[in-house]
Amino acid sequence: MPDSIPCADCKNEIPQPATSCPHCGRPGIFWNVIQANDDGERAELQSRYSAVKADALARGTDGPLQNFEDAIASSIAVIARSEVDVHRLANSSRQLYATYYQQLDAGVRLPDGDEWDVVREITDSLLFPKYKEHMRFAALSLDGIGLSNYGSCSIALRDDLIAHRASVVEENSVLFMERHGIKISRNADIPKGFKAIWSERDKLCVAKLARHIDSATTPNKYSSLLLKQGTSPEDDEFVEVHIFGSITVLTMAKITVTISHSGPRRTIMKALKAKLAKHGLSIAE
Amino acid sequence: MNAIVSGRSARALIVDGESLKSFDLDDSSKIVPRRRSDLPHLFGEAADLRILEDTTIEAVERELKMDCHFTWALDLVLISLDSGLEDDIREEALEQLEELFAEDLTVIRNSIVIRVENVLYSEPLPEDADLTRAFELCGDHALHTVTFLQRLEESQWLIEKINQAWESIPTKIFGDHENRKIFKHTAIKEGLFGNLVRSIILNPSDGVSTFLLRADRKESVQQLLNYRLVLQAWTTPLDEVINQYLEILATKNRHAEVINAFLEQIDADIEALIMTFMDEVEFEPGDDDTSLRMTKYSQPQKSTQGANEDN
Repeated sequence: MPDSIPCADCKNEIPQPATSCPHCGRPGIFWNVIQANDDGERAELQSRYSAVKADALARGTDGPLQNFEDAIASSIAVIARSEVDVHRLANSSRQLYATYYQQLDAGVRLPDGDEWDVVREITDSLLFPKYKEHMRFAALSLDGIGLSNYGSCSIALRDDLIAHRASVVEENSVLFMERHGIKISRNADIPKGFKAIWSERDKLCVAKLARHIDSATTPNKYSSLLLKQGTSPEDDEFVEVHIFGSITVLTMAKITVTISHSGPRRTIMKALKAKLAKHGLSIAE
Repeated sequence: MNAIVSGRSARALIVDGESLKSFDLDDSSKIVPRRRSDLPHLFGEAADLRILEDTTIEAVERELKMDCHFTWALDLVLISLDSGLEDDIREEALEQLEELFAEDLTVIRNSIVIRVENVLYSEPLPEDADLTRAFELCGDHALHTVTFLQRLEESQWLIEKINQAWESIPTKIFGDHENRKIFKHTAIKEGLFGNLVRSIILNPSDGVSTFLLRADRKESVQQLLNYRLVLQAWTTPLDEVINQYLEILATKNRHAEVINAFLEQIDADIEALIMTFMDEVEFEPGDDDTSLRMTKYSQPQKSTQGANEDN
């Protein structure tokens, strides 16, 4: 991944992490997409994809694999968060709530410095060298449910608002680095063919999961093939989505809450639904 | 054994040596072993974490329940005041609030009500808070909620003045802006805003002294930089506020006396009118002995007064 790219218009160099050309001001530079769209990356992905397709043909499972590929083409990016986070999001624009929540905000927070975070930090620095603070993470999903280890609310993002700035990597990027034994260095040797631009996420999923598809793989199994909930974040199996830039309530398409409540929490959830509905966002339970 | 509880996420983390376990309020019997890597996701963005030291599982359960009830009650109050929400949701919130307050009164002696007040008394209600409709939506049996909302409404003037006094404390007394923020957070958490409002309402003349004595004894307050200076700077301008408050109360009392006298006069007038009316009405026994029939106005043409008016 180069530290800079030439501007498509003025041909001058645009350094990372600029999101627009500093010389002519033309916008729309998403470094993760540029990285995934690299010729070498795409060629390697194509080669993996072609190999598994040929293998499926030989095994007589090309039909089911094609069905799977077609389904994946409409997969969505889902961020899992706790109810607390969704609550904060829904209420942030109302002065009434902001006034009093603010008073309770300076509370204790758990330190983040555990081993996993250190590894995450290193991984992000290698994958997104100068722009890691711009990256948001999600998981690819077919049913709108995200990784429950990160919270009981699955926030599905609007395809039209992320497609141009999203890329995917075959698995949890931390585990990807560990599994491939990638050493920390300035020019880390990251294997190619394991990431894709958004419009080619189906190819990546086929390359990753073709060996699990046979004639007995019915469409109702696709969801759990694509995303397997683990007992802890390290055990989750999924395709990681990287989104460049900010996400707001308007970037969201739907929220699915996987826990149902009774009593006061049910009423609070009802109010939350009503507030999010004003942003055109629905909550499913 | 130590623990961290969060009412907002309805979850507790038990820290016993190297062992980490958590449980949720919904099912406290289901204790889940945790790894350090789970910690960042365990409470989401909840900022209400409270540390309990040398505690027991039973105590953690109790504290978690109390923190949850407090969080829910605060949310329900805000929902009930939210003019942007449909009436049915606000009404449901008021019903739930009444249940929480009723349970609080009998089980944990009013601590939830006071904790909610401690937050709501730290800032005047913003313009988009709709108390009027909240009162209208309160059911006939929402006694605790109505009392709570009445107190909230009646305290607004004082809350505003106390808040202004807080804002007028020079930042240099706190040390810097960060310390100022920490001081305010501690003041709210320890109920200083709430106590000050309640102390003045209870006893306008001595309320501030009582408040200062109590605040001075709080360990968490004592740890704050220049806490005595801050408390002094906060409460000194309140002398004038209390004078105004006493005037308002006196005016209210005078109004109440005038209104009472007026109402008494109306009562007396009504009574006199009824007496006159009764004198002028004849009652006749009906066919059955228990029924009475009014005759005067059923036959106005025969009335002397009516005849005179006709003339």
